[in-house]
Amino acid sequence: MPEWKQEIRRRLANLNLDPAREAVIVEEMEQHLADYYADVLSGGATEAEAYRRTLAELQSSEILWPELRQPEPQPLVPGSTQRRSVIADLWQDLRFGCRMLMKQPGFTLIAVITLALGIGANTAIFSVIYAVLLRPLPYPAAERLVVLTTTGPQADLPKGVPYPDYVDWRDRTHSFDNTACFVDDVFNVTEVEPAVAVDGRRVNWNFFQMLGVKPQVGRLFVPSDDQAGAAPTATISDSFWHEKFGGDATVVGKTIRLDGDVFTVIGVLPPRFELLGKFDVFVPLGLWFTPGHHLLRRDVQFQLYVLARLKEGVTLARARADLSAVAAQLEREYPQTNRGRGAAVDKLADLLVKDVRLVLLVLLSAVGCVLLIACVNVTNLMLVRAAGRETELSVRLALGARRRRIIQQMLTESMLIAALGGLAGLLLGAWGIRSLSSLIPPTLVQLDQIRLNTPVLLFALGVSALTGLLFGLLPALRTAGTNPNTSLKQGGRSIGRSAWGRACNSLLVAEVALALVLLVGAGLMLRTLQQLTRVDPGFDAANLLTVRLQLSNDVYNNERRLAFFRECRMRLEALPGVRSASFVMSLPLQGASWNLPFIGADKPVPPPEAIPHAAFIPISANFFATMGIPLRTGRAFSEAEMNDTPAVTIINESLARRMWPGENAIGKRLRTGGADSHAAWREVIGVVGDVKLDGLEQEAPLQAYLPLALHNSGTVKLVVRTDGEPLALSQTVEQTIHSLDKDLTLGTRSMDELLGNAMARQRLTLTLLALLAVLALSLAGIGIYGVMSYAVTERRQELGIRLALGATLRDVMLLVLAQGMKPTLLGIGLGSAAAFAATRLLRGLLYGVAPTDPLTFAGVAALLSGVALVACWVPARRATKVDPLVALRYE
Amino acid sequence: MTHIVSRVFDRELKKGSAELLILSLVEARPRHGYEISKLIETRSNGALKFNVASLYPLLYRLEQRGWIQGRWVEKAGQRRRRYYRLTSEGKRTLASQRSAWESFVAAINHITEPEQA
Repeated sequence: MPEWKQEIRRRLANLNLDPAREAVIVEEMEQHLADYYADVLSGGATEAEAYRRTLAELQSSEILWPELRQPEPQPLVPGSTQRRSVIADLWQDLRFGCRMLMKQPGFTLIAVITLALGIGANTAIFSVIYAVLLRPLPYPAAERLVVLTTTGPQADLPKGVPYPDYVDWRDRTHSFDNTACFVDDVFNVTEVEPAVAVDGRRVNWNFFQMLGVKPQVGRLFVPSDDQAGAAPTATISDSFWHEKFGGDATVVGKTIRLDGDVFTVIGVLPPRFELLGKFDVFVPLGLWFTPGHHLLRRDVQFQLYVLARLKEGVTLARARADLSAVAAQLEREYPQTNRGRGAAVDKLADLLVKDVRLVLLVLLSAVGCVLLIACVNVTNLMLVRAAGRETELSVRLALGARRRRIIQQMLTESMLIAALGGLAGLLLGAWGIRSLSSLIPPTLVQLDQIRLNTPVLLFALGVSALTGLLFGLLPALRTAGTNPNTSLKQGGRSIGRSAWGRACNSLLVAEVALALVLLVGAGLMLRTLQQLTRVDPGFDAANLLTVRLQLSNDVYNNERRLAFFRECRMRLEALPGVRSASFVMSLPLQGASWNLPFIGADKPVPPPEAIPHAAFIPISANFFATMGIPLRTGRAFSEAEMNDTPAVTIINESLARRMWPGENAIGKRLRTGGADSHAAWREVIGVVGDVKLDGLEQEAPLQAYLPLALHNSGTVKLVVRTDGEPLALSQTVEQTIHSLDKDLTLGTRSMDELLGNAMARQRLTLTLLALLAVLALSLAGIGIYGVMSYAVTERRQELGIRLALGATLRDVMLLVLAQGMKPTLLGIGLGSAAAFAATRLLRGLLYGVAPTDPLTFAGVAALLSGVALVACWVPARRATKVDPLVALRYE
Repeated sequence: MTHIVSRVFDRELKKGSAELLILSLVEARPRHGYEISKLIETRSNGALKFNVASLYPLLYRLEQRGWIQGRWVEKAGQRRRRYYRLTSEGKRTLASQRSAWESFVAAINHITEPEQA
């Protein structure tokens, strides 16, 4: 019996059939031929004749042969096989992907680093955002905690609540389960060495109860602690307990001396308890409320915070309506004091993040941009790489690989890159979180809350997966769309210049546009900081030392206090290197002053809601000379006037302009309060320059200076004008003060430092934005360079032909430069339009520069064009080095 | 010239009618490829003949279209053979092809019958 299989296989060979399919066909045909051969033999033919006739069966009808290519239909068995093949495919793809990535370590490294930068920056910023904006407050049902404040017709009216108003709010509203008020204070803790001033807080007895705080040792306040005449009690923070009492559990029942009064410690708060700042000592607010205490007056705008817990199911809107109704009642009942005074309800959580929310949102948008740019770069790399793999993929398509499988394969590879990038990004992010923590001033954020935790890890994972999909999808879809025929015929470089090129170019445009938005943001912040440093704060901050002192009321009555000021000043001014020294209630840029209404003696009294307010600041005699505040007209206080007899005042230029425009303010009279005020009329004896009180970017308010005698309690600030570096003198100055009273607690800083703090928010935003912008600029440069390098390689032949036909090197160079600069310029145009809209977000952070500042826009466009030009120039130079002969022979 | 024309015509005719022939042959019961080719040859008294190279591609095409279905069947003492049976889809196709063929033949007959004088 002749062997037919060989013969059949030979004829099927050029069809490139799937081996399994071929085996079936061969078996079936071979059987047919064997049957036929046997029949012919049995019909009486010779073996040779039968062989010849059987072989003829395989002849001709070649038109039908392509039918064989159709795969044999497989019966579908529901269940296992399908899924197993998906997992098997995935495993195969993963191994194949790993091999491909290892084969091109350069590509892999660049892609992973690019992504790691993007993902790392996002992770770091997100960890801050999570800690500050998203993390729930550490109190039970914290979403129901609200803060109640007063509002007034004047925006600069203090937000504090007078105690009688608080009592009426508490008793007449129905929206709150619980309300408590508190006020911050500084206590001199004596009996410990050295004496320290600690941040303390006077609170209602139910303050901790409302927050759901439990003591770790002892007990917290009860109603009987919180009234005038009660035995003084105090609770202390965990850190204070450890520092001053060594964590001794028998601390309960011990006494501490606060501002000279003896308090019994009754409990220790849990570790890390804080609310609107860290405080070490808490005492009951009610101890103050002796009859006639000024806190019990309704007309005193005292900085009392009110905290409340909304009843279950009560919305913020309902609570607002409820409280506003009560405030309106109070306006009618007490028109003298409450006219124009409203009330506001805000979530505690919102209040806590008010200052940083904008900064963080800006940064989040910025890192989002950087990540997008990173994605665009990697997409470009992938596209270029996919173009190089066209031949491989075409062969696979021609051999019957399905497009879905190819897409799956490509996506697996990009996911692998994304996973590697995510991992590296997480490491970078962890490092970034630490650097961020050292960059952010602790006054802005609670730093110990910023760390890698589950939500941050989940975020990084999500971002990585998203980026993998983002930069993987376009190249995958493009590749799968390849037509195997054309691309095989053209040796795999068919669509390089058209389709791939178009995709790369549009990505370049996007990249440049995104980078421009970031750069404009950073540029605007830079200009803001420039403007802020140029702002005249109204005084000379150089060589100025500031000291915070705490004079206890028990030790210092008014007379002793003034004597101390006089004596201290004399001793300090006797020191070598000290030019002058002076005392003041509060320093500029720290925002604390008496904000009081006032009227002028020679002007009609305006209606209550139109009465102006000014910052009234008690100072000692040579304050203006020490601070370097210019005296415009009149004179400064004399030492004799420190006793406030006769009643005099010195006003700033703004107040003079406002009250007596075009007139000489000297000799005019004003007094604090409204029409029915009983305060003394004060004669204006001098006019001085405006001083920034609430921050460099804020307008200087109306200001009036008073003799220091009027400031008869709490802390006082000492300013010392020195000849040289002020901090060098800090020890001498402290020793001098302690030589007068060794129990005084002091806090010494230079004015420059305070000035720096006033710009902390802008400086932080600028630092981070600048960092991100530089990152974006480099990524964009690398992206342009990469695409142009590829384009030049692609066009080598064409450029060679041009050179051969007589094009000059300059022509070729310009051609390549034009190819690169076109998308760049388009990107700059689109980016400018986007930045025009996006920078509005920055408005709240800017000072002295418009969000659409043309100088910044032009500068950034020029910078970006320059970088792009360099990125194009290098490949363009390489293009001129093309040897026409080599390029032509290449094909 | 005549020769070429007739060969092309022959080929087209065969290709068009071949599907009908195969579907008809597997209508009654499943048959294997060699059986089908022998039946075509004997029933047409040798006028029609498909060799291996044209029969199997046709069978695979019909199978691909879902008109017939092949299945390997093993019988005791024999090599396994692939039997093709008509699917329900194939049945519908066969019915419509058959009627189209009949009307085509009738039309040809009408034209080619010698005219009655």
